Amino acid sequence: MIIYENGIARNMTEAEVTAWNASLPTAEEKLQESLTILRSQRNNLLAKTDWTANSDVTMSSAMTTYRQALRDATTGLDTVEKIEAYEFPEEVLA
Amino acid sequence: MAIDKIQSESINLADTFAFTGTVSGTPNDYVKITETVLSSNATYFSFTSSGSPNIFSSEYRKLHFYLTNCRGIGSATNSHNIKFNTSVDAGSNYNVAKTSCLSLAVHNASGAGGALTYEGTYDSAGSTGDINLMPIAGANTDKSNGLMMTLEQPHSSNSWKNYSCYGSTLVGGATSVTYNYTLLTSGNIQTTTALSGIRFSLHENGGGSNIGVASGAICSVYGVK
Repeated sequence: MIIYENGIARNMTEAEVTAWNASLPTAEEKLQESLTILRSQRNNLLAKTDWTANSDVTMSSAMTTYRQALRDATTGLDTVEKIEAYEFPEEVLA
Repeated sequence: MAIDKIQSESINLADTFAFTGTVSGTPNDYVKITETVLSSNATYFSFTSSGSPNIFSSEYRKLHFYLTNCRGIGSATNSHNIKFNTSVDAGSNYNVAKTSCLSLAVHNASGAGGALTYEGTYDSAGSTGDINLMPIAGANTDKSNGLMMTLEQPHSSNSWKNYSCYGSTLVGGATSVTYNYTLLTSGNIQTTTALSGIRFSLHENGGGSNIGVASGAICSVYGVK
């Protein structure tokens, strides 16, 4: 493993490798980070269609299905690989 | 009497002059201290007090780090995350506690998606690990990024050290729409001990395990005296 220290490339010492590896997130931390990012993206998509839930608007069945699919986005996603492979439902605009 | 003015007509401006005197009266309080250019991939790059010149010299009350073209190694599908950490033992350990806040503005190339948000996902509270400077950095080679980080009084032995960072990046969206992000973060490095090391690293988002800085990254360090 190479690092650049003060502009000079060199191999990491064993102690540095050990310290670096110890500083990296655990598998559980990576999973939670991935879920957090996915939820953030999902929340943005939901927010874009929040107006369709106004009391003076009749929500289409397509929108109802779409928003429920967004809410269920994280269901069953218990590994990083599943999260990476997940695709949001096709966007419904009205 | 010393000459205090010369007329351009009296000297040949195309000549080369071997000046050996001392120039005074010119501003020299903002200086480029050093620069690192990665010619190969690396796990991270760092600056320590053992470097020559030493960026942690007490003559600099403020440091500016300009990061250009810092891309991560790994998947171009996931965005990357530029992080930093500091050391008080010349780089033997990077584990100083830090607390930060982070916000971003976003807008996409289709003219939609505009938002200004506080990102609680990416801030930190007393973390000794590497923490976020630019948590969403484009991974594709055609997606540029850049940031400037200011570190206040790194040599101080009396106070915690403030830092702030401004950056801009482009990220390819899931439907190929390009998103522009403006990232603002600031925080405190919670030690009264003088800093003697700082490192910058790149991590793949989305749980990706690839970590490292791709060849071509540049970091220029300027000091304010």
